[in-house]
Amino acid sequence: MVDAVTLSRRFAVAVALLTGAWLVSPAVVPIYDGPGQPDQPYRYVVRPPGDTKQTPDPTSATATMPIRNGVNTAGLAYSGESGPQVRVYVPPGALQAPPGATSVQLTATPSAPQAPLPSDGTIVGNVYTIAVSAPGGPVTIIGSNDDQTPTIQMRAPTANQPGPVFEHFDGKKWTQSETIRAGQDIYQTAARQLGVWALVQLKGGGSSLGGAQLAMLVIGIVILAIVGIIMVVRIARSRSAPPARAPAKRSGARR
Amino acid sequence: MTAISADRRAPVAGVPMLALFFAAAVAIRAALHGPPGAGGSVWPGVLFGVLLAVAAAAVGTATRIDRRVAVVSLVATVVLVVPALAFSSARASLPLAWFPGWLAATMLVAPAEEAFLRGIVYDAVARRSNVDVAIVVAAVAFGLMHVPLYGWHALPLDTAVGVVLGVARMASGTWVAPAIAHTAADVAGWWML
Repeated sequence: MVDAVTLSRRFAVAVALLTGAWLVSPAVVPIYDGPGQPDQPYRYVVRPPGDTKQTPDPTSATATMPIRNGVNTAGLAYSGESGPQVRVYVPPGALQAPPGATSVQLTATPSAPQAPLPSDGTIVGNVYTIAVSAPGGPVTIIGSNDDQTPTIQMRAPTANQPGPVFEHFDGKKWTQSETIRAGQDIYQTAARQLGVWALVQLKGGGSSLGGAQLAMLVIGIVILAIVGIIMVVRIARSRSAPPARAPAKRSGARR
Repeated sequence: MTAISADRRAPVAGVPMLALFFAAAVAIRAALHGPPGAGGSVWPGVLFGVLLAVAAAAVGTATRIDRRVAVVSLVATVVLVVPALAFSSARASLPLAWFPGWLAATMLVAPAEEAFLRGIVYDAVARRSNVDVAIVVAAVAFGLMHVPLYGWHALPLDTAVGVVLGVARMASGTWVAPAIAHTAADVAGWWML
């Protein structure tokens, strides 16, 4: 057991680390752990052909960001499903509000995929239109570095890998955006522009258990079996070995 | 509760052996994670928990429940949950019918992770070096095991959570305190984003 001073120092360090980690983590990283929280079935605006599940309509995400010194404070909008199908995080200073505006409204609205569709794959899930508005004029993105760029996360209908990528529609064509997997079925991108976004399963992708996963499974089982056998042998040996005893006290009398 | 002192017996598994076992269990869990859905992601986690629990039981570690453990558990739970409440927000309701099964799985997996990381791994590393290194090693392993599920973004937060749980282990002298705090934080997480 450790003394109180040492313990209180370790405790202070741990609390400081935890607070710091919360501050530097993206706003919507998964909280801690557990065996995994089940998601509700994906809610489509228009279900894909052959999918007969009955689900409620998808919801929009909204958030209001107060304006300070002409720019926004941080805002997080997420839709109401569990887990949310879309989340948009706007860091402070990312948006320039029109003069006189006291707040900016952020919305992410679902819609069904419509032509023109991406040529390099298939949209999975809904299309989300992300917009910011304020009374008195347009709102513009002014954030220039990564820390000031809005972040979009979307949940895909499945966690199948390889997963989809983000694509943005500029009114004429769809363009891929650098995508990271932020959860089992959650994908994230930095959005240098708002507007129409969707997750697109690229052509040739989408197997349920990829080769890498299968290899990982086989290697994991083999290692586990080897380690398990070694541990069982060691346990058996330690049980069969004579117990270590302290030297017996000599009485001095010999027979 | 029985008290099994790891120090009284020859180590069944050293740090490299435990690291291999852990990496293999993480790989299997990551490979088996299928599409989500009602309970869809629970079973790989349960298998993972069973593997870790079996290893912890085979190797043996100090197991105790007393007043000190209760106090440390309570403090660690508050430390984990309060910032989550401050930085997060209440999530939309999940169907309550899913809760009992998820709770049962959580009550298996979280203590199993703690028995392994803050139990036998902590013991093995502390025996080899010291408790500070043991806290860090177990915390880094805890952070890394979440990467296949959530991505690298979760690493800082989960590692920091691992440090908090490690300090709880040091303060209480047993893995039981971090197990209680871990389980409580996970259960609180059901209602958070």
